[in-house]
Amino acid sequence: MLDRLARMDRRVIYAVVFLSLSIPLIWPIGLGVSVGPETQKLYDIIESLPSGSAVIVSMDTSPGGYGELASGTTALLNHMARKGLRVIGMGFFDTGPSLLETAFGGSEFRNKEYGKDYVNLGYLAGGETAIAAMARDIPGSFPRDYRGNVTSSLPIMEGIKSVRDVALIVTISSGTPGVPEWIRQVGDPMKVPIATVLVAVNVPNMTPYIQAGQLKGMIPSMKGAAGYESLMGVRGLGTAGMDAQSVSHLVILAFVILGNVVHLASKKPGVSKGGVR
Amino acid sequence: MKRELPIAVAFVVGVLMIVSFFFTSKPLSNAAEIVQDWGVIVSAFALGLASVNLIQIHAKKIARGKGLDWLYSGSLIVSMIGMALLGIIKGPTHKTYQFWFDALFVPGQATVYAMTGFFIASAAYRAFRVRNVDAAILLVSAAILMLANVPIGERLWSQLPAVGDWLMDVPNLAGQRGMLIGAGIGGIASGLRVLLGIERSYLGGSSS
Repeated sequence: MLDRLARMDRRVIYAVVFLSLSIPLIWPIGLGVSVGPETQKLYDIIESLPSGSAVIVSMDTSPGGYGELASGTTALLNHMARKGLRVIGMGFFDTGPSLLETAFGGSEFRNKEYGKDYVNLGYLAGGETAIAAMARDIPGSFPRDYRGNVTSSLPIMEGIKSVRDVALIVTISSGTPGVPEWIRQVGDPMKVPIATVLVAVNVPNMTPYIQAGQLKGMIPSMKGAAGYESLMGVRGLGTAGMDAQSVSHLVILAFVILGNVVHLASKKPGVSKGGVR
Repeated sequence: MKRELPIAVAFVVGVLMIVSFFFTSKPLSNAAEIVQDWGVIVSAFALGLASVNLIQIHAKKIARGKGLDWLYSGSLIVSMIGMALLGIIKGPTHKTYQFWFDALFVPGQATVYAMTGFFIASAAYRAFRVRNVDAAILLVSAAILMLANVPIGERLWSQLPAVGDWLMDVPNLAGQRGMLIGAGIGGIASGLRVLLGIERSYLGGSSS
């Protein structure tokens, strides 16, 4: 028995993880979610902004990371739409603008007016340098938006010259350039609040910025999205995903414990060593 | 001159950016802004150069015709040129362009990223062993954080999220801050090496 467990085919593990993720998505358990302090802070900032305030949403992620960030982005955009905020979208990842189109289309902004309530300015190459250049002159860095309109002629850009004219910047982030670059080039030198929707693997790296007050709020991955949805009183993809994440985490922990039990038992004489094929 | 000129340019530009960051001077900040704009333009050209390089590499692979490489390389070139032409002719917001992006590129890349979850589960079963005290601490911390970050953890023990928060806010924060400061000092040292022409790896060839 121990020998069979020690030599467990990795496809068995894949199948169990697949089932642990898919079954709760099809039949939700409804475990409920708690709201983290960083998520609450971002929600409160959005709530405190007067209608008509301009905010920047920068899509600094690739489609690989966006799968994890979509639920948080949608919840955030829906909140901004309900508050009547003007959203200036842009991206410092080449895939950012196309993902922004997907994000706007999947949120309540699809019922709003393009160019007046929201805009997609497109992609600017150059990473951190591009962020710094954009910060001092938004219409100069993006002379035309993603749809080919002259940026300065759009009603949403009225009174917007640099990032000092926006109330908040949210980076939808999964890599570089991301939160540290925004804080270095914009948040600290220009005193503009920075918040983020972030992939889980990067959350531990952001704790110094949160604790120092350089990062004003955060939606950490699907857990943060579920919390944000509960603050808004809706059940979206984030809430549904938390059941799947709960069960899959338990399953992975069970595999770790089982692996250690097998390892310890196989140390005894007479039991062969094994491994996953 | 092939090496001296780039080193001189790097020195002048680097010093200009540093000085303009620390001192308020209109001519200096104007010059720094121009250099920043050049940086954006050079980056855009680099994208074009990377595309040409990618086509050259994969065209060679197709010409070699080894195994299935030619098929993968051919798919890359066809899809790259196809999407570029579609974007240039129809525009990147055209529904056909957005369809291929949403229906092929996004799920494809998200799938590759999501598969790491399965590999991690398999690797954890195979390799996450309590061989010593350090490994035991790591395992217990990982278990607490994994459960503290999902609702079921709170159901199992109401104090688990608080323990998870402590792990993140105290030991993790101390470690992360130490790494940040270390990386910052390393960045200054590395920047000085580039400015003074000691570090030349960006020119190609050996580093000094």
